[in-house]
Amino acid sequence: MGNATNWHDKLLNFNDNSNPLMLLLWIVPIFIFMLYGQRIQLQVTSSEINKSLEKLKKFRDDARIELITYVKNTLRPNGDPSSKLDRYFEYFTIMPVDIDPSGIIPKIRHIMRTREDFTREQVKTFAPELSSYEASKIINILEVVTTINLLYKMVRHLFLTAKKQNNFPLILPLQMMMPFIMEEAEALKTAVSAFKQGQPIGDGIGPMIVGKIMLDAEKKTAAFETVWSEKDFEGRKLYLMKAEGPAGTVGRPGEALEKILSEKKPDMIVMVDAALKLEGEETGSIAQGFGAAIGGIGTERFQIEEIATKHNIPIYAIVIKQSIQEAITLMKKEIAETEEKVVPQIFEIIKENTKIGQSVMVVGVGNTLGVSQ
Amino acid sequence: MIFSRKKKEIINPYTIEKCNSCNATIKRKFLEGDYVFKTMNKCNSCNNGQMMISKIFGEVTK
Repeated sequence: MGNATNWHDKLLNFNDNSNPLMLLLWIVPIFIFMLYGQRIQLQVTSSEINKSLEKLKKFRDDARIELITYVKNTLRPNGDPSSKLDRYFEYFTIMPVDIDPSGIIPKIRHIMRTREDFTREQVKTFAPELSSYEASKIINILEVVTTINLLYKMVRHLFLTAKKQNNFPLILPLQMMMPFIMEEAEALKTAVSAFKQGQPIGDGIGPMIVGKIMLDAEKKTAAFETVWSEKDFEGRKLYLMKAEGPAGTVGRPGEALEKILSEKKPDMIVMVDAALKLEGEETGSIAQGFGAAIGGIGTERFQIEEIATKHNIPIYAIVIKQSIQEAITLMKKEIAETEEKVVPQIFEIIKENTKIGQSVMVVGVGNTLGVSQ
Repeated sequence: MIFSRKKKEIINPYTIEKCNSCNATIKRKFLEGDYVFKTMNKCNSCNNGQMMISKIFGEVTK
């Protein structure tokens, strides 16, 4: 009886380092984590990514349904547009070979234009009398759904490959990228509402500022969906250019600039655009710098830089800082209010850097949805 | 809680109309068909100028 009590006391004595149960309690988990640690981590990470993937799928499905409903209600096409729209969501673009990068820009431009022209024509088949304003709204939403679909498919591919091969290192970069992907997907999903109602988006601040300056001037076509005006300012000639609003388009600023420069010879170019803010920077903060302030795939920027270099024209830039979400959703008050500060700033740059009798090209870059001129 | 999640913001769209003569402004809710620099009715304040949409923006509801 005494022996049994001793054995029992020894086994349950947690203060004793020689206790065999305590020894097991330490050693077993160490071995488990040594052998299966990576798998456990893979399971935890997988469940997190899986949740985000489900969310991405929901975003894609919601945006798809919103687009189909919008097309049905607004255009009232003869048949069901779902199957035709579903086909668009899967369209891809093959970028030109870049082993020999010389001359790649015209090739990229050609491919992108083909895609844009094809999409525009296809959207018009839903309703032949469709206005370019309505068509631009549908094209923008179509682009949103296609992008969310692509994000979803890429994440799903990486996730399933990592799971299939039990490949933990493969899932790590995905885990790191997921917050950025989800941020972009959420921004895209929110953007659908603004596009449907034709509301100005954060990216439209550049066209809004230049549109205000050119308000009472005669508008001429500079290129496809791009307009320009001439105006006098304190002895200088201003050439003002922006995409043609209120349709949701960025126009063709590169082509337009080339056309205007063949007739006029500005002494300076000022570009106004929205720019992505760094974390910690305030929405609507204004920064001034040099170079072509224009985003996108790079073809327009290349064209503008090429022309400016050829004619030795300095390029000044003013950017209005905002996040990716703010750039593609309804323009925030802080961004809209920058107009009052940026217009005098443009005039100040012009006065400081040009003499009386010289001319300046002012370009408002961005999607001009909901912003006329 | 340094990394606590931000509360979702509700953003309402507003339209600002401004008179080109007396600079009177009206702030109202956004209506479909509104766009920036759209010419609206005559100004009720001065009966002389023309109202025009000067801004459309989203404001966070508190």
